[in-house]
Amino acid sequence: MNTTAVVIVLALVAVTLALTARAARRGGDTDHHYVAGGRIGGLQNGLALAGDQLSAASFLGITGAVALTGFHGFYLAAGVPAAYLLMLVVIAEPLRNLGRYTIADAVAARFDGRGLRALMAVATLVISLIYMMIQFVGAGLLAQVLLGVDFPVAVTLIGVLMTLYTALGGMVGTTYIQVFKAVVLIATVLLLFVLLTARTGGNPIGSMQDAAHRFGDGVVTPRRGGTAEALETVSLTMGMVLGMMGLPHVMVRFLTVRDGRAARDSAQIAMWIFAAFFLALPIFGYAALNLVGRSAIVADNRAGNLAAPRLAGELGGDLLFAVTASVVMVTILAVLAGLAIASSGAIAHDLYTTVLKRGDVSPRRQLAVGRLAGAAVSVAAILLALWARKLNVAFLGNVAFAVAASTTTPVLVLTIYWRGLTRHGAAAGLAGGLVTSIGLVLVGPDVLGDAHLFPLSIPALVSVPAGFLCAWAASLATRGRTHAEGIPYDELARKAFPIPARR
Amino acid sequence: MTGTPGPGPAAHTPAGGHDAAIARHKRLVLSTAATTFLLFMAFPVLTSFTGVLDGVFHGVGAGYAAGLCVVVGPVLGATAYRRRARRFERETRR
Repeated sequence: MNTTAVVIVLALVAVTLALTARAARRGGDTDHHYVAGGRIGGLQNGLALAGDQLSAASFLGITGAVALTGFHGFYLAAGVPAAYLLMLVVIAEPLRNLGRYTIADAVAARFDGRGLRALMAVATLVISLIYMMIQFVGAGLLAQVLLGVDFPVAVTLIGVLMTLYTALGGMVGTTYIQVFKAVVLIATVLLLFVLLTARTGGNPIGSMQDAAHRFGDGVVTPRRGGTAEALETVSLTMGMVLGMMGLPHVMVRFLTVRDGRAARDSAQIAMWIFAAFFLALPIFGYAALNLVGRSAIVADNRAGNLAAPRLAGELGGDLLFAVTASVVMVTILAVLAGLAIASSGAIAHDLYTTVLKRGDVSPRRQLAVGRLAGAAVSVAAILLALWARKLNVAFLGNVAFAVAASTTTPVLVLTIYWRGLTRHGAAAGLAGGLVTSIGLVLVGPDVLGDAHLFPLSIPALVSVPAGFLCAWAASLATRGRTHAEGIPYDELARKAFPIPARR
Repeated sequence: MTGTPGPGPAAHTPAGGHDAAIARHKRLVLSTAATTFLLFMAFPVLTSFTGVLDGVFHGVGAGYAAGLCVVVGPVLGATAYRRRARRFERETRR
């Protein structure tokens, strides 16, 4: 057990609990619980968005992937700013204007009814649970190595903390924690970068150049291993760049801001942070390769997930190793809190209040169900994490992106921008995208191994067009049917893109 | 996909003017999104299927130089979009 790491983790957790208590004192009606009363400012939401995105999977995964696979690991970083630009121009503002508590609200603003909302809630839960599972497995493994805690004990403790954050602090508490975590993580990355640059004689890209010099140019150039591998790379990046627009825990952040301007400002702030962060990670990867060494990285973890903390240890000794690893633990807790809010909203607001009770639920009861749903989601994620302990979590992260890109993304985009979409089209897009993406993963090489029936691990290249195609074909087939049309499209568009009020 | 009617006789009414502005905005949004997506996807396609980004100069891969553009380009695009949206808001308030 690393005593320093234990002390730092406990101190950081104490800060997050204090922030949760502060949020709980601010009041807890339904609006506060799900969307922080819609009063979060642009800067705060930008930091919280950055907090959502700068996950342990990004920091640990990309650093480790670059250290072990060279340029190939960079694909995971390169797509994030482009994904956020798409999110900013296509979805952020209209979603802010149409949604209330969940992303299903934006679709329900055009097509009311229970079936479609239930499908949106199911898609939200599938995506969030996959994402949650990754965080739990990552945190459990890290806690094992750093704190000497058994995996089941670690994931249970993390689940309890996640439930406390969301039940007591709601979205306000989650936002505070995300902002705190983003600031701490950015400070840690900055410190590592400064120490590393000093080590390479003031040359910020010195680690990459050293790696090319020591291990050959192959470590800094793209690798080509045939058509299947090339298609896999294209499919992975496509899933990531389109899937971000459909990630419920990220998109729900745009419902917490005051207005469209704050939504735009927050996306822009988050993008500047991403650009700096994701450009630093490949440098860290090469530095880990140079200073820690490939065999030591693989000995810790086959996917290289501890390369970043080990690099910190090389640069700043045991203290910096403990600080970096502890910050990663808090990072995971913060991302989990955001995921729990999004999925408990899907259960309490979409499934319970609207689908089951047809809206006949008091705000107080809805809040109570939301808190209970948060606890239930936590238990489900813990059980899934215990089952998925030996799975490749980096693979699962990309699956979550592919599922979002094939389900929620097509339906949100077509609801807002396509006059011809019908209720059946939206439902078909969700169901078709979900079945295709999950089905192709199950018959792909990461699940069936050499007996695979589909050549790609990440099926976005096929499942994203399938989601759009199902929505388009079903809309054409049901066009003109009265019950298939929602509210008039022009009415929805005026709500989604309002003219700013005159002063 | 942008089925909103363009400026026509209805554009003389307040709702018609709003619809025309929405149609313009949608065209801009969808063309910006399509351009962003295609430009971004060119990066993995070029690096995975061709050797055009295989060069190395002073220990820095050409793929990383292109990657720098792929990372910083969208941020600059977002800055331009945000400025345009603010200008649009100011104009429509007058």
